[in-house]
Amino acid sequence: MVKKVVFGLFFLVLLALGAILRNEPYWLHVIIVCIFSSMLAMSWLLILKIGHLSLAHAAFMGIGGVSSALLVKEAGLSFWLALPLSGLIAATIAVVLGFPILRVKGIYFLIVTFAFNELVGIIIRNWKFLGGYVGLIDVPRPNHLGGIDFSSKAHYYYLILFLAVVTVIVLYRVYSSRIGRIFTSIGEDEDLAQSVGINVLKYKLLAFAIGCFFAGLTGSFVVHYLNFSGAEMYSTLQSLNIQIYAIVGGMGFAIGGPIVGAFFLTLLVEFLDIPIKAQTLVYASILILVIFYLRGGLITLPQKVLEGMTRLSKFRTKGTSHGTA
Amino acid sequence: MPVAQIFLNALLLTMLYSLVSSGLTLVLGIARIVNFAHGSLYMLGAYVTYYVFQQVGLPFPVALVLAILGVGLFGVFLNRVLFRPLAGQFFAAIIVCLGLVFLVEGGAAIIFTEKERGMSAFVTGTVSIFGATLSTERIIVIITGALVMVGLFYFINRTKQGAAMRAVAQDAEAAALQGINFNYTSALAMGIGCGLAGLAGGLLAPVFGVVGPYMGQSIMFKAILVITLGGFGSVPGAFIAALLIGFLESFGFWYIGAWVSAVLFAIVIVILLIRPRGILGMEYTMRH
Repeated sequence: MVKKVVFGLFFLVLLALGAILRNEPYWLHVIIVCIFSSMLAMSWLLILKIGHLSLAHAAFMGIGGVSSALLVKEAGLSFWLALPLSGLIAATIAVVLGFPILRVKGIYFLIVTFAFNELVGIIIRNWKFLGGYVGLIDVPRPNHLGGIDFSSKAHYYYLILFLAVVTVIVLYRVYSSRIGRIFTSIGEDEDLAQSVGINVLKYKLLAFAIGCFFAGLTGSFVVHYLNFSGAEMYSTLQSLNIQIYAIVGGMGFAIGGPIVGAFFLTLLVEFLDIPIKAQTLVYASILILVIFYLRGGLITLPQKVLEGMTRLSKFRTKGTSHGTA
Repeated sequence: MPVAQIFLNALLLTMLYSLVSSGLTLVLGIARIVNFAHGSLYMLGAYVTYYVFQQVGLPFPVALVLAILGVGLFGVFLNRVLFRPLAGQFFAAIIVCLGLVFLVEGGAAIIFTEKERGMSAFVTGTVSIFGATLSTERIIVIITGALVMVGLFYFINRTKQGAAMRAVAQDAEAAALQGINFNYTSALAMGIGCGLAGLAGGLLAPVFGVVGPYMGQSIMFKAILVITLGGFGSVPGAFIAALLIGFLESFGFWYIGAWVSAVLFAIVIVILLIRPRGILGMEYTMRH
């Protein structure tokens, strides 16, 4: 119950920020980046939940992005149709790829997704139709919807906020359902799950598909937001970024962790005015610090601080009682 | 089709891949960690060589030795500080390695700037073999690489330290019972493995002519393919796989250009499905 209240409040804050900042395109952009980064991190974490570390998430975002750009530019589809379609295309490719590779152990899955991400990059760069080295320019804005014509950043802001809420709700429903429990059991002990009669491959494919669906969906948004699609956006380094958001935020909290991580890291480099070149360095340093000293992620920081304070207060009480005796 | 050129190129790639991958697989066998930052170490070796040879002007072999030592010692440092505390924790170790890539590349981008540096050859001229004109430099690099690989094989198979490394890779506990110092052996393996990456970077920098902070990425891709094909932890396996992939890539590039990477990728997937342990590798477990 507390969680729902927190999320609800957070959403309201973001909603309000959209109105407050409606004439500050720069800050709107920053928060838009925070929001879609959270979506990517959340959907990636779902795949981690079943015990697989995917290094291909940016590639799936790319598959969605490129598909969407082409569907709208070349096939003349409406963005509103291309958006879900891109997600579905990404999910389909995920299933096709996942069918062979979700069977193997974690390290091999990791290697294959790494190679897959590199491969997607190579394919995009070498195929003019998908953008080539230059990329796809003049990707159209989303089509009119009522009075909203996406001429201002605020329109994109509300769109991505809406998409993020949908993502959160879907993920939440999945996690709290029987399917979600199966995911967790597969993640914890695959063999045990199998022995209880769970069709492990089927559920792994489902999780992988859902995760990649949202990656593709986000890709579609990004491409129409930036009006551009380029191979650099889908590199393995971007996949690493996504992981860092989720891990630094906290892997234990499937929805809250990624949001905390994405917002914290993005806002950090903005407020400290860290140049782009130093960003990767900062992210990596924070990641390594978190792994060594705060494994649960930033979201566990309040809890850790509380524990620390409780320990301190117990120490003092002991001293006092000793004195009164 | 200029067969001689493509053949030479294939040999060059073989040497490059086997140097880098042997190092990677050595580290994997001992520390049980796929060091994704290995490509970044290759890049560091290239930069050290660039600065010592091109900027300072010392002879090329000196630059190479410095690259090997520098990167090797850096590797030992990484092992001590990052890998050893995380022994046995798969996710944590992998994530740290991935973070390391960012760290090393980001650091290089800041210190050396992102501008790519041109590197001149350490020896110019060509030789004529069987009527084909081949670059002297490339031939020297190939021969050097081959000598190093031979030296590596000799070390691993015929010396006591090499045997110690093989023992630790096979079963660390049993090796310790035999009196093998795990910390020393793992530091040595790390040093040699990373030194090999540095050497490869230094050797190939003048050949490729360009040095940049992100040059390790494509190497990492190939190195991972090679050790997967060759088998985790196996240096001879890495060599054989490097040979296969080097030739496939060189000849394949002539016919289908960059799409050869797609073919390599497909091959790796097939290997993983049929025989995940690769040609000569061992089963991958996190614990020894």
